Amino acid sequence: MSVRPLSDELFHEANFDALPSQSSIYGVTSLCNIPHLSNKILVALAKGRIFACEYHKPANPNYDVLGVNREVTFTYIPADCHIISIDNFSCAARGLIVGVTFCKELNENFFNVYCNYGDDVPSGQEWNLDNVAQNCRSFNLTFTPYQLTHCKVLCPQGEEQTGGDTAQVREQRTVFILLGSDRSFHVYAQNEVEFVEEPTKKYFCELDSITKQPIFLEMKNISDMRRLSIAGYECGSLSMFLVDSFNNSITASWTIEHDSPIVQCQLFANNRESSEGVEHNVVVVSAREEAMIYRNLLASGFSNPLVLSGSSKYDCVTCCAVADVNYDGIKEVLIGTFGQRLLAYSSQADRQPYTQQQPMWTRNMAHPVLSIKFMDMTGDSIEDMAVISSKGVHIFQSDLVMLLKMCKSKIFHKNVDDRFDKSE
Amino acid sequence: MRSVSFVNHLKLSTGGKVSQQCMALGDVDGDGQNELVVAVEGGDLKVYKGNSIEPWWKFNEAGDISCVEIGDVCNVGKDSVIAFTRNGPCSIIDLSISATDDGVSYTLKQDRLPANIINVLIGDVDKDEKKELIACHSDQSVSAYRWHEKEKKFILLQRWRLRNLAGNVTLHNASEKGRPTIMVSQPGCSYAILSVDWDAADNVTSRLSHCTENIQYTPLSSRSRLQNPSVLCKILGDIRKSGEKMAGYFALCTLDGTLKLMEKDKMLWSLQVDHQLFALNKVDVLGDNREEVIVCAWDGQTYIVDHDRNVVRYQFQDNVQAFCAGKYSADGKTNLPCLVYADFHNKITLFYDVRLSFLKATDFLTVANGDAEMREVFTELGINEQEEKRSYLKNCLLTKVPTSSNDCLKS
Repeated sequence: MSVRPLSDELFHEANFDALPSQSSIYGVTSLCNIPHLSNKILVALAKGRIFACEYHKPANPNYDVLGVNREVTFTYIPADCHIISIDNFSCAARGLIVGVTFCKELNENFFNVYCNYGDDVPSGQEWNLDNVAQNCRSFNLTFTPYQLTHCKVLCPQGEEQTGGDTAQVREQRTVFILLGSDRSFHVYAQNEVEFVEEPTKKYFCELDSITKQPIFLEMKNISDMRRLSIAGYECGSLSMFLVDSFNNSITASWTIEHDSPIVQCQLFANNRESSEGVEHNVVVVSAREEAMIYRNLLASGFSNPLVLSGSSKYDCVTCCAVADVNYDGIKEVLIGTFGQRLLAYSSQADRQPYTQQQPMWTRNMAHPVLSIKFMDMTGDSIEDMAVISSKGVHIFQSDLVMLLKMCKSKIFHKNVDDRFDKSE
Repeated sequence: MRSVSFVNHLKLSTGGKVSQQCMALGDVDGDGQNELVVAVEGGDLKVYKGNSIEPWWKFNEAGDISCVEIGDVCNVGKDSVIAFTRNGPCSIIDLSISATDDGVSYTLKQDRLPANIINVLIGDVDKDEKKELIACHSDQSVSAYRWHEKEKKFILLQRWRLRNLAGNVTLHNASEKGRPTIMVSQPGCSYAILSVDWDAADNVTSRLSHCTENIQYTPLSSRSRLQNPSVLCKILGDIRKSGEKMAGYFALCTLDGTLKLMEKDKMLWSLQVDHQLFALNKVDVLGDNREEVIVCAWDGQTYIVDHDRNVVRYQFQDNVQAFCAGKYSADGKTNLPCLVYADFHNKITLFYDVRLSFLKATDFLTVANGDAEMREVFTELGINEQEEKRSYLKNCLLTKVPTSSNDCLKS
């Protein structure tokens, strides 16, 4: 045991706010860069309550920035229920849309969609969280809900005759995707009036006819016409599809088996210019194994993993996040574990498959980690790290003195004192 | 108000309740590393050392201990543990690591003092380079003693009788030169200064009688809150201002939630909280050679306050019976700031690394605005709006190496 100087820390805890009860790995969603709304995190608690965590920036520059937690009352969520998952997105027409799934009693499950349904909403109110939380449409579910996520998709809008050819008219829209205990993905799309459940096949051909229990879905539109979908299953299977999103057909697919449930995956591009342009990678977090980064997915599928060594030493691995935390142009992967540990890994490593990557930074946490989000909380355009633990929300800031030093060295052309290279 | 979470801790099972004043941090074995001394209800005295959760040394012949302190009370050049019991006997225990076996050897000196000592301080009060013992009794009296090595007993130097019940006693250096002052807290956020009238040869006039003349009362009025005149108050002196200077600040806290920082007889600021503050300590958590004031409430709410009234909160997860803050060495190599909580379930939680890098919540823009060089850059480039500064700084961090400072503006 050696004492590490505080200046070696990648992040400092800026604030910790306790929450009255526990959340879950699906119970956190971030509201980022939404017009008229400061960045915030919504944390859904097991006891039917939802808290918004945000920073107040006082008008007077002499006062400190202040982290606050406040409860947001969402209508039609009974007090004794268990909230399972929460998600949000926004669209120009309806403003902010929040989806919440909860279970009331055994086999009584609901999916509530909150947004402004009426047309007579005063201007600006469609972005007001407290206002949105009062307008709800509820779906009675026949299955236990798991993860709730959303994806922007091209959806068919009927056919149109143009000079003899039939061309399908497609419109881009965002839909909710809900994973269920009935081993299927459910799609909820909005029509002119409200949200309706639609056949999965119509939007996502790759998510149809699944036989295993899905527990995590990650999707990304990598170009206008192509989409990468990765589904993780309870049995440890991981399947990836490259989809032609215009024709809704699978271009390529890959599968690999892990030994424990896939808890989270996150796609990210490191801007390495290869012959095919941007390289796509995915961090895969499997509960009882070392987390992995599968690199250059389009070229090599699951055949080039980078093992994040030591991540499985601290109980279950629960979550991951990707960001360039030290501003060196290379993305880092943050791993959170139930064993109260945060680990940071550089995504840059030897290109050989199965290379072991050692953590560049670790931090003990006071409570088990459930979720990590990178977003600017303090309003200074620097991304902060929000870590949601079983007891509350921890906001971590980069070492601001170090950042200032980096800024100045770039401005004044001094040599960058790159202390983060020590681990490599 | 910013709040934090502390992680690294040891959970110690004491096997009994621990009352306030029955925990002390200090180097008892002379190895330069601090240990934790705990007196458990029933008479067990335990010393915890390093990262072990088992006591390093145990002693159960000291009686029903009401107060424990660590200090060189015998003037032998090494700190010892001194334990006072409710009915009078006190024990001075000098611990050392025996070189021959892996055990601990100790020497014990015992004496009898008047009963009901609730709090003591060990320090050089009269500037004779020898330490005296000032004991605060629960019956409004305070007495000063010196250890007589030949007779193996404490010699009474002076005794004061106060108007009100004494909260605790502390030593404070108000100026660089001159004698330190003995301060005793009085109910209702006030304090009394006791002056000594013995000389180097121990020639004292008032040795046997309680003196009431050598006491200067200094009540403090509070404008912001109607002060309860009978509320329990604690005082702490010699809060270090900087590395070099001797003279520091002193602080007072009350059970109705007032914390005041004082310099000489002037109040610098006061802080009002909705928690019952019962323990007042100091430790340097920032590592800048200035000591922060640490106050703790019965419900576990802890405030770390610097000299400019920046506050960081920590909520301990349980009710607190006894609290102390200081330095402890968990790794056997470095003394780090620590917080020690004794709860009502016979457990002590020792947070052995509570270093913080800053107290005042801030953002990057404020940090940049506070830097002279950065302000110059902003003026040079004509960046005045907060929004422009924000995007300039962000671009600056994201660009690799700009060829000119204007690159950050363009991108």
